[in-house]
Amino acid sequence: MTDHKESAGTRTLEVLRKQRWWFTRVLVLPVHLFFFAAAVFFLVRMIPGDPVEQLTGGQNVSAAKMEQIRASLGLTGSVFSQFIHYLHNVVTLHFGNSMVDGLSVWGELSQRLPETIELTVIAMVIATALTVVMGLAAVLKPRSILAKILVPYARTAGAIPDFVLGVLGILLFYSTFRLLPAPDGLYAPTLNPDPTVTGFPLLDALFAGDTVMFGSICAHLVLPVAVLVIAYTPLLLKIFLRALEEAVDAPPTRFRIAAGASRKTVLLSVVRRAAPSAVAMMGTLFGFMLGGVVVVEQLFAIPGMGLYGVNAVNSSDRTALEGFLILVATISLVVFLIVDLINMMIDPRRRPGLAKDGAS
Amino acid sequence: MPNDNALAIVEVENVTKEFGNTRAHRKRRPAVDGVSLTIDHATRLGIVGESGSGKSTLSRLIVGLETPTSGRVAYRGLNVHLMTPSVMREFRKNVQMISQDTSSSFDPTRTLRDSVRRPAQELLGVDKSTADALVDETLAMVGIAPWMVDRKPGDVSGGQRQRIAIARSLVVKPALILCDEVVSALDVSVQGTVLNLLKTYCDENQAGLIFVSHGLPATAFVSKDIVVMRNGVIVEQGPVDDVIHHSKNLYTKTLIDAYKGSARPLISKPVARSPLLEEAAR
Amino acid sequence: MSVTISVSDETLTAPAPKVAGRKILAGIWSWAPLYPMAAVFLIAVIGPWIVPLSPTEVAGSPNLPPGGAFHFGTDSTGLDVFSRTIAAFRNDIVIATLTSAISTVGGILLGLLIGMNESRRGLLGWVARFLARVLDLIQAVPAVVIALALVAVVGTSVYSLTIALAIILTPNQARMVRTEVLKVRTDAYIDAARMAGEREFALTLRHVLPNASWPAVENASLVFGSAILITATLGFLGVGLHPPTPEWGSMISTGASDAAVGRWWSFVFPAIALLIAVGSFALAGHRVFGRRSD
Repeated sequence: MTDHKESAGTRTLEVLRKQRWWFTRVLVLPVHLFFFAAAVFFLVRMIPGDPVEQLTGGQNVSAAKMEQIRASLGLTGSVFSQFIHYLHNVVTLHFGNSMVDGLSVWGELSQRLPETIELTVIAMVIATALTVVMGLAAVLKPRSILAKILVPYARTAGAIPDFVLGVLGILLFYSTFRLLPAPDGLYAPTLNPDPTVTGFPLLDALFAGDTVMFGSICAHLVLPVAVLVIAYTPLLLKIFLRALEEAVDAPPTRFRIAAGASRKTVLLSVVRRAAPSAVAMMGTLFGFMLGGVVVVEQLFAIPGMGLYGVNAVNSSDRTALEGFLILVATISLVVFLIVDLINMMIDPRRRPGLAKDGAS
Repeated sequence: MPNDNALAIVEVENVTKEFGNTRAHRKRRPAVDGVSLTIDHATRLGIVGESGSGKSTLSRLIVGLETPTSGRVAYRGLNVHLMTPSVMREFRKNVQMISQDTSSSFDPTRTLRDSVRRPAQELLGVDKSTADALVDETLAMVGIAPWMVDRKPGDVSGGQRQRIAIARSLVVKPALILCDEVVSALDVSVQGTVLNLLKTYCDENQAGLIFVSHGLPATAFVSKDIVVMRNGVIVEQGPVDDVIHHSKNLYTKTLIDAYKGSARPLISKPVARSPLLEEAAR
Repeated sequence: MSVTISVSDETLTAPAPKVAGRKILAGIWSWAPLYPMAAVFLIAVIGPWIVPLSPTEVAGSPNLPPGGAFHFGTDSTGLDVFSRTIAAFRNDIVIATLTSAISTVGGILLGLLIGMNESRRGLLGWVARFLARVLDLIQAVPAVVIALALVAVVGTSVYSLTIALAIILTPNQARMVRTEVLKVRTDAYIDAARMAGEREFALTLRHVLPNASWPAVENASLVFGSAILITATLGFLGVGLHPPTPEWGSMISTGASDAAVGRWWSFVFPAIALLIAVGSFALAGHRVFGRRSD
């Protein structure tokens, strides 16, 4: 006999319990970010050398000035108070100024971020599309020449050095065949940048109707994107191929075929079965690609975040490095969250803590 | 040292076991719910029930491989889960369980002899050569040649592995043996041998025997009393004859009826020879 | 008429030399996938002693194409590419070997610790779950970025790089072992070991470890390759071993600007050496551990 007079409280709890799987996962994100921020905090403070001396460049400076510099760097007071101060700054996006050129760290990063994101996203979209196409091709026609090339290609996962591909690309397509522009940045140096609407260079060019710029950016992006795609698609392809093979052999699929389902239906169901492992891999893929982007930006002189980070390490620019690391960590964690959530949506078995009512 | 035959070996006192530690999981039925049993040297107890009835969980609780959520399991009066290491050793020496061979009952990276020897070394505290002697003795009991155990588990057949597993448990001369589906995967002809072996051992060594199975004929053969489990609860218990032939419980009766149809004898007649072989022999 | 059958002495001696020889040949051929790796190790050990010219001092005029005394030509600063390519084996191989060893052993121990304890209540359980979370987080961030951060702190010596790489590559090893431990835990022989009176700790080392370590050991050859690649990537970015220490990554980096004007030799040879080094370990690993995992 159900009690129809359930209080609103009980009903809310009921809803919360059912939806628990995704919002617990979301709630955990700030905790992770906190840990990363703490790790960055301690890591940066372990960098050898005295930051104050670095800033003053060995000149003779009064003690009062030193204290002032110290305070501006957030290095006064106990470790605990420094940490609190630091957390406050992180949350309010006050990353300070670069120790090398005095520019605002957040200002620089926020400008470079879209360019890096643009590159990464384009590469990931193409890599994913290629994986799906190649995976299906290899599974549908397992004895074709295509499959014979694709399977060993997938096996090279993670073994192709992106910078080698990049230099090779420059050697072949620029200096030898003159097909692509020089590695001199995101667009031809003679062009003027478009007014910032979105911050994404490609989109800004579109908005401004600047086809020359758009074309130049695309031409300059061909090699960087190609390098990323060729180097990192195998990671995704290998997982997808394996998952597809398992899905094809799985009893539910066989049943579908035996029950006379259409080719298209079976294919769709196979892809649906294989999807979760591939989607899970996309999170890792993003991580690898971000790493690859750092290399590619260096090689092709694209002014993105990666270049900023490398320079920061090279010049021991603590504030810049701090901002860079936190930003990268945040992006990585957010991407992982999204990937996790998508996976939990398509595969209900992956939702943690959900009471399996009914069965077993 | 507590005296032997009069006292119970193991007491199961109102034991309940729930799995899972989130509130959502707890709402499910417990695997074992409020079960009480007294086990001594004279016990010949069969535990039957369908899959999921809780019999395996109960076995594991009795031998101390699971901790009760409520209630307690006591060995000679001492709570199994609060024992000191030395008492625990005595407990393990006296209470042994043999599981169904799921082909992972022996460590694949070690020889069978190493695995059979281990209980003697750990629980009896003897050295390797004494343990070896005990192992050979016990192997003779189960009809396995000593050289066979110098191999790895994958090199012997399932039936042989099951007998070696029995030897492993018997090598320390336990006072209580718990058999969990030990014959379910064996050929019918081998089943008889194994069951007789267990019965003989227990009779000769004054050991208690608990036989857990979802097969009634085998259980009926070795047991004097039977417990019927369903959904973690004991629905009926009593002498074998009463439960099987005069049960008043609807569930038990349905269970038994399922067996009455097949009038297969427990110990089978000699395996029929192929007609071709018969032909060739003439 | 009686027929005499004579048995010549030759047929009585076995095996005939030809068959024995064929067997040895077959044995040599079957282990062939390991030879490149052996060659790589060999060059790593003797490399710096057999190079014709100094890998760190200017030997000739810059930008000379391959030929004559300079088998691989000279780079833009006049250093001999051949000597540097050969000498670079040692650094990368030393780092990669140490890293593989540390991350495999560390990964096994961590995987054991986490896998056996993560579902327990009490302190051990919390520690295990906390460690698992830490390892997950390390894997969330790109390896190159972690490497950058660590290099800023520990510097760029061979040992610093080893530490940084070990931190980056151990979590995956640990994850693989942990997955296996979770499977092995529920095998019957673990309970049988408890029944036999073995204590948890002894049981973990004696039974779980040998049965759950193989994923990490199999993966070690890939860890090797990853270590070499990350070292080279750091070298390429200019945050690796200090120049003029010969290292393929930094060589490729200087070779990049040469490549833009068509001077291919300062880039191609280090690149090939890099690919050979990484590939030889993958090949050897594949041969030793069979086709179980790709």
